[in-house]
Amino acid sequence: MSNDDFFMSAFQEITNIGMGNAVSSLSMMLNKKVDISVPNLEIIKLSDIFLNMEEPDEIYACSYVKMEGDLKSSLVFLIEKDSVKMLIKESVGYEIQNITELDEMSSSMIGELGNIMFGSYTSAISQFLNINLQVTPPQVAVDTFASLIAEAIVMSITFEDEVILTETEIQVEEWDKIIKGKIVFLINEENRNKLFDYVKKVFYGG
Amino acid sequence: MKKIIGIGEYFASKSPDILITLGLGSCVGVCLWDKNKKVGGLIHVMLPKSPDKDVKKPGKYADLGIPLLLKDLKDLGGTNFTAKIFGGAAMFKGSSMDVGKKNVLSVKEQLKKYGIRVAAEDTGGNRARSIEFNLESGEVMVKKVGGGEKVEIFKY
Repeated sequence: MSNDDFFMSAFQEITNIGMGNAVSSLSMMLNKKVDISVPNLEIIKLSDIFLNMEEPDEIYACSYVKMEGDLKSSLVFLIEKDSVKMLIKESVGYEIQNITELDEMSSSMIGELGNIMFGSYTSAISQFLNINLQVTPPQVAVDTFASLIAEAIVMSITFEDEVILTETEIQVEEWDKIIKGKIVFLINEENRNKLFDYVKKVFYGG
Repeated sequence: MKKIIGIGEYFASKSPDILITLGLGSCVGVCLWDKNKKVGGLIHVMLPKSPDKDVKKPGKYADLGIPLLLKDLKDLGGTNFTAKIFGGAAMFKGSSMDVGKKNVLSVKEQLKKYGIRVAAEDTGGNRARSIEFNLESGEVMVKKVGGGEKVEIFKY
């Protein structure tokens, strides 16, 4: 098994552990069953980020947190616009027409979704890897898919040219409708190597 | 030919090419055009200033990228340029550092240094922009989210 393969399967494993926690927090918050599909890991160069984007102009809301401590990474939860409306109706209790002008309450609810999910994700992997990790308070934006991804990268990465992007689908069972979202992990090469070392320590004892 | 320019990339070309970049949030897209030669270039600037001269990706920085783009444009025969600039928004609520504003200032500083006039701009605000720069007409089509969840198109 090559280093890359090992890293990918290890990353997938810890993501499963972290996501298991995140999913139960999220389903408690929404009081609904939540499913998250297994992530695909992709290494993308900054210059290629807009190639192969399926629907760059679709409007999404996003909750962005930074992971800090022994590892630095950024976590982005993107929610498709009709799903945003459904989530707000279900949890805040009223209908909104236009997600590009979110009121304070709805906006903080979107932030809170990311906060709860990534907070429990982060605490699960910090326990598993026995390292110190925290998340920053969530930041919220509503815009096109391409621009949210681009801005999240700009806010996260300063001097490297490669990012690792994991996209995963999240589904909340809600009668006949499905809530569509994407979770993106942004991590640079330096922190990827650190993560690799922490994982090796856990698997092989250093 | 349509060419997509990524984050921190720059590209110089000739008519009838169309240069595109997406997702300009705090980043700034700078379109330089020589109307007589119909030579033009686009750079997707990410940060105002480079930490030092020796960086892997100079196109990320206004102070290093713009001179490099100008050099490529001159190699294609361009001599006399005007600029159109887009971006520099603050998309996220509660974001403390206003990188967008700093990017716009740094881009303008560079353009002034090379004596390039800003012919049009749409900068600031809180919406991201996507742009398409037509090297035949010099026109830039700007897409941004407007009211009513629609992506609106503006021409500059």
